[in-house]
Amino acid sequence: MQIRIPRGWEIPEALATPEHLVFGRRKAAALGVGLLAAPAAAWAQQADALPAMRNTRYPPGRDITAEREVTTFNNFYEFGSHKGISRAAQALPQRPWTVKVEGMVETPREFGIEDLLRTMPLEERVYRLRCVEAWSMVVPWTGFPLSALLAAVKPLGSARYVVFETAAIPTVMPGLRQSWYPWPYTEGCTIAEAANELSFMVVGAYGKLLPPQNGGPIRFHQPWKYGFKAGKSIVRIALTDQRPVSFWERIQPQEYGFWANVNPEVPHPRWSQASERVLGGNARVPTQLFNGYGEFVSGLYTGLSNERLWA
Amino acid sequence: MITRTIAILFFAAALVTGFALGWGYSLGAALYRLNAAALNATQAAVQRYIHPDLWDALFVPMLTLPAWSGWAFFGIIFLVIGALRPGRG
Repeated sequence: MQIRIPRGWEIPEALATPEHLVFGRRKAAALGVGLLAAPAAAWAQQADALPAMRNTRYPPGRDITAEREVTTFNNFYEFGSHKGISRAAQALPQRPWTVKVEGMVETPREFGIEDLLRTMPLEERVYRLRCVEAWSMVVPWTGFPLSALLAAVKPLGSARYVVFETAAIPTVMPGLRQSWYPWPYTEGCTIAEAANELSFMVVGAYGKLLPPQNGGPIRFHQPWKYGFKAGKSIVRIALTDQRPVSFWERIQPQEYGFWANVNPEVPHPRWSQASERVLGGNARVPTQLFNGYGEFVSGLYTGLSNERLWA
Repeated sequence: MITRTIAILFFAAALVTGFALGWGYSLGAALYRLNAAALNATQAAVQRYIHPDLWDALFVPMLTLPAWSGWAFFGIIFLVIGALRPGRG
């Protein structure tokens, strides 16, 4: 006699969502079938889903941070300088959303976010994120290489830098009332850094669309740099031959520079960068040079020893 | 007399600020120009260690007032103090 012990993830067949509801959910929603609370909740989850194959080339070496930690502990200065901005950020409209890619390119274009989701080569990458404030997290981002986006606009040979501009919507972003700050939030990198395989345009996290508090619907991430270099809720990307002066560099140039590569040996003027608190606990772990991604990026900085690479 | 003199000095400072920076130039912009790092650190301290809403509800409205009005406010305070202490002002 066969004794069958159900595994933890198994549920009875009767509880499985019928196939026609899963694959026809948009049509079903349009017909008003979602009036019942439970199916509506299921559809709400499904509507945010953004499945993509995981790229295992970049193992994070640590456990993935709990989604709740990542989505409730946020730096998004347009909504305040504290970490609890997640609720306020829900006011940021996610659709319609467009990203202009212009400047020194052959074919400047404006991409709708849905077009990007449909046409770009989406994949999941589990990256470490190291904040300049000495905390870190590990997030399964969904997105596509920045190089794929740049290929669509064909950068001119004279372009040397890429500038990322965050949305500035005063009606939903209370921080913009402080008109003395150099809004919109801008960040930038060199064209070589942009072309690096790690440079990633993020449109999702944890298999779902990227929530606004994390920079939805589209943000940038270069995991070997401090987190402030990664622009959130991007509306414009410009290629230029002029090195940009970014938001924080304009406000506090002695603390936040253009390069901002992670280096445990170079302290911030007000605190050590030798270790970092991993979100979700109080444990501190040693910080790694280039946040542990040196094998992919250290070659970018050959011959740049005169630059302030670590701030 | 002393409080009235101090009040006049504050009003003079308000005039100088208004003429120098412009009558619509905000207090926040003036402080940012004076020391951006300190203004930023103050915001972070208030929002992170006291209460996030305090900054938006109290500080931002004050900082968006014209810069000259800060001096004028203290001028008025000293005028009032002088008026409340007749014969010793």
